[in-house]
Amino acid sequence: MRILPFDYAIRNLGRSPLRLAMSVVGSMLVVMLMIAATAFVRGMEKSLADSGSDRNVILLGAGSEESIERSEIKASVPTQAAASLRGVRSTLGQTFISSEIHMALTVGTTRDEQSKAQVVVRGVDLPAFLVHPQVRITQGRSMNPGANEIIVGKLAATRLGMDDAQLALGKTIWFDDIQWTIVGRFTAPNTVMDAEIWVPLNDLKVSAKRDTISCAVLTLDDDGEFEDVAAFVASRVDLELVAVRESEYYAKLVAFYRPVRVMIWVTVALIALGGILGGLNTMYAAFAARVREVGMLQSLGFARRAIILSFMQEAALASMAGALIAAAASLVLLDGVAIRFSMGAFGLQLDAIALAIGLLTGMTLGVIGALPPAVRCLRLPITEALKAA
Amino acid sequence: MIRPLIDLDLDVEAGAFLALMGPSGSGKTTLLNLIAGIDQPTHGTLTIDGQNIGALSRSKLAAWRSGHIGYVFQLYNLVPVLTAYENIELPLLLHKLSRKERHRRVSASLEQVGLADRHDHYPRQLSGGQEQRVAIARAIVTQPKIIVADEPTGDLDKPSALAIMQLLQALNRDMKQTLIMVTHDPKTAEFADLTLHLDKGRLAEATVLA
Amino acid sequence: MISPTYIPLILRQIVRRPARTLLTVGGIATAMFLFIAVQSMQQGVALATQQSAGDNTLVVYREDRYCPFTSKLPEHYLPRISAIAGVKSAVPIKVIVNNCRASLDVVTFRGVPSDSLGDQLSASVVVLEGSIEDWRKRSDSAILGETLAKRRGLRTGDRFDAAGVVSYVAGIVRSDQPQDQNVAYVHLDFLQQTVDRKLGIVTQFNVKVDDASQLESVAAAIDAEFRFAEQPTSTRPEKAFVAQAAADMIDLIGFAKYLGIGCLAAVLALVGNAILLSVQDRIREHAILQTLGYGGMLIGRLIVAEGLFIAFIGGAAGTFAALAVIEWGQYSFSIDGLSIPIQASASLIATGLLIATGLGIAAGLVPAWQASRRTIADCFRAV
Repeated sequence: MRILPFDYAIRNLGRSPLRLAMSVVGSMLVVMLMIAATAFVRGMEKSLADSGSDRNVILLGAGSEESIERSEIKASVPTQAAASLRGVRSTLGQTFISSEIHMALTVGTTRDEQSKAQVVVRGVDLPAFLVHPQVRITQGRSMNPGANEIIVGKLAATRLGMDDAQLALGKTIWFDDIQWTIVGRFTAPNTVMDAEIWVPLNDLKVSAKRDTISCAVLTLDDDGEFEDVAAFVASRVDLELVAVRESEYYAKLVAFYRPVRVMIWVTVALIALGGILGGLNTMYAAFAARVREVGMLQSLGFARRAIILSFMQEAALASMAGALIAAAASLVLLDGVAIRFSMGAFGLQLDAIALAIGLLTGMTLGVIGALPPAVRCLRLPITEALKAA
Repeated sequence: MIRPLIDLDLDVEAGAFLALMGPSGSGKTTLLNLIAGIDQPTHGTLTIDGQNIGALSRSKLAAWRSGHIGYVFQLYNLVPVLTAYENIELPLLLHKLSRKERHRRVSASLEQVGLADRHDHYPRQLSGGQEQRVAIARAIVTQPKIIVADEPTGDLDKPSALAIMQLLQALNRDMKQTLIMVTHDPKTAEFADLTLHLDKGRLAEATVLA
Repeated sequence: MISPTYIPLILRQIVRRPARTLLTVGGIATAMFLFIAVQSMQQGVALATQQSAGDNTLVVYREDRYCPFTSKLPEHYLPRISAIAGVKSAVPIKVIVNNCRASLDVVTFRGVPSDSLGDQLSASVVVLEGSIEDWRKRSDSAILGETLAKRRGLRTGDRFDAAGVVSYVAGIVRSDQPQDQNVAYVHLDFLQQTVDRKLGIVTQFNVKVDDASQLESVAAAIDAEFRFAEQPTSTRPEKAFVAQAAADMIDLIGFAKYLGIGCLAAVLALVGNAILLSVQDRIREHAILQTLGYGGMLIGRLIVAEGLFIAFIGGAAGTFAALAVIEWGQYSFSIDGLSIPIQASASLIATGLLIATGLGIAAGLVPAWQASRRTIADCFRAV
């Protein structure tokens, strides 16, 4: 099949600068939106997925499997678990079992003035750093118990809608009617912990007036089996516990947010649909004006398929131009932007997949945009086409 | 400066059938468009039926056209998404007529051009000759004073062209409407009472049919 | 603006170019669908968080807490609250949610004393199925809000298992209060036994005041009463409480406002584009109309009217599709046990239609003006 020169498609783009501009801008907007939505969803999913490790097991209060913040277990559970369970990792005599309290609290820079957002405050002891190796202190030091000291995660400021400077080392914040001093900053990239505030466990117990903890998180060693933990939980009915793999817990959270993700995708699909319909209109008009030209090309000997291919090249060029601009703009404007969302915060994930999806969208817009109008244009017999206005 | 028409002085009697001939660029279409009120003179006066139409504003000229002129184009120029009936009805919408009255007139025009059975056909469903007949019906439906035709048979084969000219001639005779036609074909011009030859914007000669 | 005589002509132009018309109408419908959806969310936020004059409910919560799980107030606060001047009634409520985080499918239980359900539900509540009497008869029974029942496909007599609580559906109600629509009301002691394994702890107290203008003063009085107690309180008007707790979600929804504006811009662009293209395609046609005697202004008005019709049809399609989806889905956001409904009111529908039509007119103005100015000669030269 003899195909039309690629040059033909390129030159035809310049026929109507206005139409070309409309196509490029339309494609750019839709692709940018697609990239943003993908980055949002991937960021959200990743921060949840990476938060959970396969080798960690969470002991929660029975009935609270869906939400650690709701869970309450006896403070003695970690000790009892350490005594009864084999297969729990330990190093230099320190067992990898972390007692933790997770609470969503409002904090403020002064006693009276509260930020409107809540942040997850996690009461922890030293083992927490062993059980959650993703956490690294980047500035200052870890907190000392009994001194109202805290450390804050990298995205905590975003979470609270505050300036990062307000949570710098040495600054103080208030919650539970107590003033706390920031002695360290940590990062736990792509996990929910990145947006948390960590407090010594006992200090939080005192300030929150509670004698129970939320959960115990333990790390299995190479020989350890989840089933052993499950057996322990089943045998100690008095403790009213339930054991969940940390990765499963966060996977459930990802599933919990499915309606929100669905909503985002539906919105994006609708906007893309609107863009496609507008683009189709433009293409119909563009090709309808060339019916006679198409008849002439056919009379020269070019097959219908060759002409359709050329039209598609033209449309794809315009939409890919828009897509590339969108990709570049997104990289500059969107990558890493922190979003506050439902008790946490995460960064937009503008990775290869998000960009690939965006570019693929651009390509698809071009192809879909050209195909129906091109086919319609070529419907007429050659003699009719040559007579067309 | 291009002057398509120079020193043209022309009187046309009501009811006459006039043909304008001349080579390409002689100004015949320009003259036709002036008479039809779709173009305006730069110098001189253009009086039709006692009215100096050269002095009318655009909107008044449009109103004058709807009452006085029926235009037949070479390429028919029917609206593709309207049926034959609806194409013919178009000019009537500008007049304050009831739907019944419009229907009566459109049906009468369709009869006159012999297309009553194709009233619901779209232009793409009609032959060239039939399309031109619809165009003629559209031109006469408002009973205009003047029908202007720009190469009405230019796009038709011989038999169709003959039929169209016979129709136009009959209309001119029966309805006493002035008919001014531009053509480059002497055979077509023979249907007219009077043929004017234009050359480079000037009137060259006049031939009267015996 | 335009004589009815020309309406059939305009409609024919629209209907007999089905591909182009459908594309434009489809695009507008899509944009308006989104617009209505976004506005419905905004309306839901307004409904749930903005106080109206007659509001007379306060929520007494544990200070500095929002997740219902973390607010634990002693039930014995009740008589002290009831004794405060201006308090008409006070109901202790225990709130259990299956998840503290915000999403579309949170299940909220509210445990109320058996004889207080009437106080708690709004006066305009309509019982759709079952009865409150039935609820009183069983200790594990639940009265469900209409939205929750629909979302989970529950009818009277079903067992309802969520958040570690198993209850029996005794009735389904419809209320004009968004908070009631999404909640399962159970007996307070039942919930306390099931979750705490003991009595005596509640999440909050819902207080009704005698006089709506006294809301702030009564709130201050309640907080003053418990300032130095073991569990200090923070008392706010119910809607302000929702606004604070759901600030996150509200931020996100507020951001969607820009999406709504974007949708309207898209409608304008789509109609404008369609009209521009069709005017370009029909230059010759407009010349013909002019030769027939149609004036430039009339042709301009025909173009604007065409844009108006297309925009109206598309707007209506999108608006009613959105309405259907919202009604069928009964969506609402839940956060910390509070509900923000997604609702489309009649005034929103009317606004949507009006805006779409207005945009249709606006989009056609410039192409119409240009077309009206073109002389016949220019038109024929252009093709």
